[in-house]
Amino acid sequence: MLRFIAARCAQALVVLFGITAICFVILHLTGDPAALMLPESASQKDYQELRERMGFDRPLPEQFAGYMVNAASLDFGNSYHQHRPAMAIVLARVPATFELAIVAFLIALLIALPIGIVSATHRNTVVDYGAMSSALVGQSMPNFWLGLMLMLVFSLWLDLLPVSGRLTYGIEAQAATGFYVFEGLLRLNWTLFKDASLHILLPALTAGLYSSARLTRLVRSSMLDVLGEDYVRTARAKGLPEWKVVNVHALKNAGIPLITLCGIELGLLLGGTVVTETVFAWPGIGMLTMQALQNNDFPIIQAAVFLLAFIFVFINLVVDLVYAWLDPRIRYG
Amino acid sequence: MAEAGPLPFQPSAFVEAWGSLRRHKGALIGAVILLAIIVMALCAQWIAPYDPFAQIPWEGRRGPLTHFDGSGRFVLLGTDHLGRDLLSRIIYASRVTLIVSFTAVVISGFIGVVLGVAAGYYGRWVDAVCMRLVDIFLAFPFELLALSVVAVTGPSLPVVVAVMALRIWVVYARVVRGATLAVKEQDYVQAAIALGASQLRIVLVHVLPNVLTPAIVIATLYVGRVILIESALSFLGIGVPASTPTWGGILGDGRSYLDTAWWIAFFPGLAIMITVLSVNLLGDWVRDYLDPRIQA
Amino acid sequence: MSDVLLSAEGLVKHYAVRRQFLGGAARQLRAVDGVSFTLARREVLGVVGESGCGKSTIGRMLVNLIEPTTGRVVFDGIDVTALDKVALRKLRRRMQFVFQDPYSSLNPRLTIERIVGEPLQIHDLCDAAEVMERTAAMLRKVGLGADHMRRYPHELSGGQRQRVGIARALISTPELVVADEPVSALDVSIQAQVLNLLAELRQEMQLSMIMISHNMAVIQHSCDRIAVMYLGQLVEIASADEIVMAPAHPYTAALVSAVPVPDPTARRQRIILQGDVPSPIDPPAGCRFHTRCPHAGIQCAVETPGLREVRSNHWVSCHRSEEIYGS
Repeated sequence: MLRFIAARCAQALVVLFGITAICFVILHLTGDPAALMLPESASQKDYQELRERMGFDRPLPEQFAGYMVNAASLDFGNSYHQHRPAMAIVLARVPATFELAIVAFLIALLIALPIGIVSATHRNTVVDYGAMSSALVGQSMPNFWLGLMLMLVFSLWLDLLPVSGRLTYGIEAQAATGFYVFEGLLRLNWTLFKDASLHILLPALTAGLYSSARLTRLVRSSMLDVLGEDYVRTARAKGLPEWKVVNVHALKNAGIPLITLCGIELGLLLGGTVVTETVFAWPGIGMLTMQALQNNDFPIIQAAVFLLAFIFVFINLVVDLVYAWLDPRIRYG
Repeated sequence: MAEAGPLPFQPSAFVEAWGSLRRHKGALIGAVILLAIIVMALCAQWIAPYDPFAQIPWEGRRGPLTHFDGSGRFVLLGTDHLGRDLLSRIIYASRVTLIVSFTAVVISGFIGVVLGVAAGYYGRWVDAVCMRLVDIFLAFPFELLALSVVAVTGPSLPVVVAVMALRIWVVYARVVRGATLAVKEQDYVQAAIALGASQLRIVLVHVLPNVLTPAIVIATLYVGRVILIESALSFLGIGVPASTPTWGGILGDGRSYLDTAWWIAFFPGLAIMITVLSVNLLGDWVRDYLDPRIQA
Repeated sequence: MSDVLLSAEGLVKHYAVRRQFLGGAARQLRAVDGVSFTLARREVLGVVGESGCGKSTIGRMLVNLIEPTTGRVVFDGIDVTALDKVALRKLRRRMQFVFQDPYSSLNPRLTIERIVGEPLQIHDLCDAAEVMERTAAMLRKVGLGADHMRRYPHELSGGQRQRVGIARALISTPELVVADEPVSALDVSIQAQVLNLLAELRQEMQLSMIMISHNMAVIQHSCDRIAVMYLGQLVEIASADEIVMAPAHPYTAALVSAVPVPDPTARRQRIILQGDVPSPIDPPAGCRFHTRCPHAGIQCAVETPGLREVRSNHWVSCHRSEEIYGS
């Protein structure tokens, strides 16, 4: 098992290295970051000064080495716009994006698990067809469109939910971790909890749309596979009540591949929040990156890319290890 | 694992495929709609009622089914903020969507199949390198990948296609690699070796046709996603340049006018949904059709 | 032109077994452990033994589908194992292989015509127009009509597919055919047909053949000489008649005694061996058969017997052969 862990960790490191290298390549793709950073009116002297200051005039391999070393210590330089360390700015936005992704994921699970299981156990009935059709439609809809339409109906027309942001102006965010919903719940601060929840509802539904549709179909097919297996028939033949067959026997075995998929979905959610954040003005990494784009603020973009890639790789690593732990065939295979 | 008989796109298979399609109602509808959209895209110039680029600002932000005395237009879906006929813009925008998604899927398929077969067939270090490449591309957060490229080069059509192709080839590669590994063990590959066939011949004649079916399945799964991703990029303004109408772009425009002119955001989104739904329905049928042919 | 077409010399094939993850030296699976024999022109040699004795591995090593760990194969004076890739491919035209599984040995995406015609294209044996003619002729020879050419493998029965496999092997007029369990996957009623077909074609095309099977009845019926294998090694090799009438090794005797005889009144003494086949990763010391041999002595557990000629052209690997069976 130890060898397996070591091998997977080494793999993960290689991947991270590759990603950072790609970031570097992209940065230097059109040749001149310095030129891009300066306004039209800048003089040749300003240009030279900037190049020296940023270190762009040193030979490429040296720049690359320096870049990689800095990346390893999470130093991506200062934001061109805000003049503070880029990574620090990005990290400050992590809680917002994380909370959004996690709530979206939970909602997706809440929808997918019961519907998927019921669909599988009531195969080819109206319920099944209805659920699968909805899932298909859900996978065909652009989620930002859904977000806008929900916003239109619930925020603008019906005025039931807030339009944007994480909290209503004026409400104190007494949350050390930055996770407003969860901390509000844990600290029993109902004002915070209610306000944060209302704000997160539409964005989470939007972000989680594709995942919930996909997960529903996956849960259903996974359950169907398992329900057809011999050991399930044996359990039924033994006279076990149906609910026990489903929950105890079938679910556990369907669960293993599902866990991997869930991990991947979560990773995808984290990377895919840009659109949702833009629509709902959610102050997370995605929105930060969009703004950085307008300002040609490369350090921020790089730091964000690196961080998200790191998280994705980390989640995959954890999922693989959990999978290996659950399914002994993988370890020795 | 073997599917049997001719490949689905070889002529001898058409008749059987057509019969199956006719039986599957959902897919038939999807196919018809998709065909209609393709026709619409091809004949956009003749079908669009008005010039999609003509800006008539004082006729802007008027709802569906409005008749204008000034320009004499009867706009079915309303006008956007610059007074352009929404319906015409949506019709024109279908071209971009179809071109981009089709090209991206084909290019990524090509890259993915080649690399997947190479990794599966030649094994060892070729395999190791390919799989690390796959891991790297998978982990790269997609939208940020697009953002970083666009930050440097600015939005453009080829860039969008390239970015999406780069994102998707990995799925093909993984699946094709798995299929190649399985095929490699089959006796008919050993037989080809025993006959004295060259490596190239074995790969092209024996391996490739037997791994294409999973690749086709992947393609059908991803066309829809590619359309959604392209529209998301255009919505954010980092996709196709704004001068060309795209469904996502029109949606993006509509965002600022959600309260006053919701139709600008509503109709393009509807168009996207209908297109992707048809593609998915058709894709589902293609997958179901290919599946039972296993071990015929 | 020497009479010996093929010579296998000291063929050995070891597979490294996956180490247990907590270290320990890599263990070897000794699939084939030193096998040598010769095949004369126009002779049929049968290789018989139970599953896992290494006979299929030998078969594939003879045509270089598997590379021997050590040892060499000499075909018509040419060292097959030492050839470079290009020369090897060209040589392959002369030595062909028939596979066991009719279901996986034909490419499901190709028509029968293309499958059987492929060797002609690979070795450029005739121009395009002739390919179809020769393919049709070959198919007729194996008992399939011209209407089969357009079909795909999944439309044919197991027996028909095996015939296609044979046609494919023979269309390039090879000199040697190695048939690995050619009828094991077929229904018993079809087996006889295919065996007879092989015999006919062999006669007609003057082929030399090596037939591999776990079924002594099949081997007995079709072969001139028989080689008996056990746990990766040859235990006896002699003419078919001698093997059947007067086996000189306890294992051979047991195999022969199990072959059904179509005379209900004949009394057969079936020799039933005790115990299971040992693992090829850890074969017994001394004579590998000694753990199951009813005649095993002390020497058998300690010293490995080599192949020795106990009668004229009759080789056995057993210490006590003369004692048990006389000379």
